[in-house]
Amino acid sequence: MSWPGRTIMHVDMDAFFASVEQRDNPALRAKPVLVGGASKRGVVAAASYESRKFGCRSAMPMAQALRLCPNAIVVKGNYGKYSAASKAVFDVLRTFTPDVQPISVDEAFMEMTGTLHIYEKRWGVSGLPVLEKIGRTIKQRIREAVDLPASVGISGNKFLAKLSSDLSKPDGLKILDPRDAENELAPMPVGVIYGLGPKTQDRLRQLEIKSIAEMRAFGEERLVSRFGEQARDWLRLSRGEDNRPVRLEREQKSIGKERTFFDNIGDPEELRSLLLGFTEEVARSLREDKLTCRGITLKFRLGDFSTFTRSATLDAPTDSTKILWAAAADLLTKWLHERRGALRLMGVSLHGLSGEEQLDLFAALPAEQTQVRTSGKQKKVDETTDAIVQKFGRGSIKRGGSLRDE
Amino acid sequence: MKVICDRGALLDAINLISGAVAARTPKVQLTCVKLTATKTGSAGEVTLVATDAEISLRLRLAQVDVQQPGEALIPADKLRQIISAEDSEPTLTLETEAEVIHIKGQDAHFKVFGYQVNDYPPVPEITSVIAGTDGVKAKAVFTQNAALLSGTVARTLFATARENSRYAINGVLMKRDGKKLEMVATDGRRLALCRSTLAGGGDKDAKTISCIVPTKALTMLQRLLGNGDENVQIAITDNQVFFAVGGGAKNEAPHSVLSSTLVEGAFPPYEDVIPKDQDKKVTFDRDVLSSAVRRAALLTNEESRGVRMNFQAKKKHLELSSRAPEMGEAKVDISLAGYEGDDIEIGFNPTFITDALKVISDPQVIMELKAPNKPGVVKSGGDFVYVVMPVNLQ
Repeated sequence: MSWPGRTIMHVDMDAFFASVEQRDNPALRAKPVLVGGASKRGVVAAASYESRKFGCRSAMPMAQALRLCPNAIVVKGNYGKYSAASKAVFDVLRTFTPDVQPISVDEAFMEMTGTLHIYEKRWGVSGLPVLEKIGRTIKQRIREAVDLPASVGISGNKFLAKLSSDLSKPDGLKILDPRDAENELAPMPVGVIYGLGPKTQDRLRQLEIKSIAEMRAFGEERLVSRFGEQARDWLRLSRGEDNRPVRLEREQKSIGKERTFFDNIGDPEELRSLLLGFTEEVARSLREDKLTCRGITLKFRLGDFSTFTRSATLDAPTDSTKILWAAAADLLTKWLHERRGALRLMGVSLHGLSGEEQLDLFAALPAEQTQVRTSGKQKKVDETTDAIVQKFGRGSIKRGGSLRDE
Repeated sequence: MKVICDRGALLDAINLISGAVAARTPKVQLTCVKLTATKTGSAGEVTLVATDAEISLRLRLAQVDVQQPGEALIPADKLRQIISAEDSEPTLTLETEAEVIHIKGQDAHFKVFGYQVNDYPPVPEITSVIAGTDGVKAKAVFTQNAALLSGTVARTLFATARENSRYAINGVLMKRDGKKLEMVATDGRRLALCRSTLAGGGDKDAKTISCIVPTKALTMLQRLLGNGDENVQIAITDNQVFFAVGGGAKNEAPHSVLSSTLVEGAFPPYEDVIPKDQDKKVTFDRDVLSSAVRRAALLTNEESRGVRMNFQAKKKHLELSSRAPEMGEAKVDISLAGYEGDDIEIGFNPTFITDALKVISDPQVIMELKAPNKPGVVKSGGDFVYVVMPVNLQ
């Protein structure tokens, strides 16, 4: 027994997409590589460690990354390859414990509490050595399977495990005894606490709170009075406490689609037709996952990067393109009335996802008899278009309104 | 016009009538309340009228000292604020001077600009539609006891759609059928039906007549039905409904008359969705079920709203469970007063169940079920039927 309580592991692939590109093309090795769209509006999907030295980060506009590192080699993403590598990595992880919670294609939590004794018995070691051996073995198996570097953090809960793998990067392994967490965390910046974004960090800085120790010293009630109940969570994390369970399946929170335009778009008709296409697409993935949603949010970004969201809650959970489009079109119309200007980016996301379906009293009756707009007929339309898309591919059938002169 | 009113009575009246005043309208007169002071012998009374063009309300305030009969049209909101704020005054004096109204207490004097009374739209009168004197004649006129009517409304109104969105049913079906008054409401996912026997036994030969009364009108009606011993006279025309509350005896006029335009269109064929072949019958203690559902609902959220109900016939036992992602789980076990039929596991939106239990006065409730994807039926006495569609839990 290395410490009482749970043993949680966090595995994170290093600069995943960029590493895959470097693996497959020797000319890219040891060079700054940026994966992402090369157009003037492109975004960095992954930055190799060589490029990170210059300040390049993922999710940064490509133009900015290239200003920081003009010699970087830009590679257009090859997503089929990444998802194959991702699948192989997860297959490796699941040989160590069945309780693997994927966070994204290149990151996962693993619940090791129940499986630890198997390795103790198999290798005849316990305590820290067994954890170290598990960590090394996982990294080695990933190397053998996909020839890519991964970082592993092991600790007593999710927060500390992720913190450990972040600290160990790249290609590292760190084991953090949760009993040491309080001391180890003390000098760290408050930004390591998840859910504490840059804006909140700014506000904390105004109160002279930069490190976790300073946050603890500020006092719980004073923090809560300024930041609300969420401050209690920060303090819990700042002491290294986190009791979130490892979930087998990632609970999907939203389904979304957004696009940055090549040129800003102000034409209402063009925006409507684009939005209709987006809405069809997200509604289809909703149905693919056999989910319904309760809410819809549109996202608008102007030329000056100011970003706005507009949301609506639906009367009842739905997976119908028609109902979602009615809500989306309504939000867009209201947005256009605000007359804020041409858009650089537009997106739609669905939230309040659920596998439940509230059944309809009048579903069995013909729509004209009920005078209520039941979704029975629309369901048929959705099912048919979904089947066509599945057979002939995306774009093979669309609503008339989303078609534009190309 | 000059009247001296009891402040408390006037405040009650203005609070009630504010519900019928139009909130946003280009027609400024509709934001007003019309006051009419009359005097018969030594008995004075003031009538308050407001309308938002769909719903109209007329309230009679008796025992007013009318010093000078007359009329006034006053912005309702300002009048309500003044009457409400003058809370140390037992009485208030209202006096008009052309279109200006003076409201006087002991130490305060308010001067409020009103409008020309002639500009106020005519508000339909129940007496004239019953008599047919204004070119419109009621298709049906009948009387119901206020307490029974209030109960019938309460047992249905809650099941109407909250927003005017997916379902165009923004009202309650009201049906007079011989001796019975039936009301039905649905939001497309649940349906409530309640029957009551009309006052004086109704008229068994009367033609069946039905109309859809807007939700808002019934919400207001509920506030008028305070005194259970009163009678309510109901008149239905082609596009309007009238409720005259109180009066009747000794030729006394009703104290409140609510009228409303009807919701147009056909009500869904609700008889077709009331199941008749349920093969499982559960008998519950109402409070036990209500408490169990409320507790199980604590671990539901927007994403996961269903409560799973697992009925075990042999043990006469019900297990309720819920699970909210990232939040947790709940399990509640209760014994059933009675169970007939096979085991079944079915999910419901807990609110849909507790909503119905709130309006049931019987301590015992019957629930009839058939299959996890078929409606459940809640019954109480012989007069209340509630059909609720399950949630498909995965």
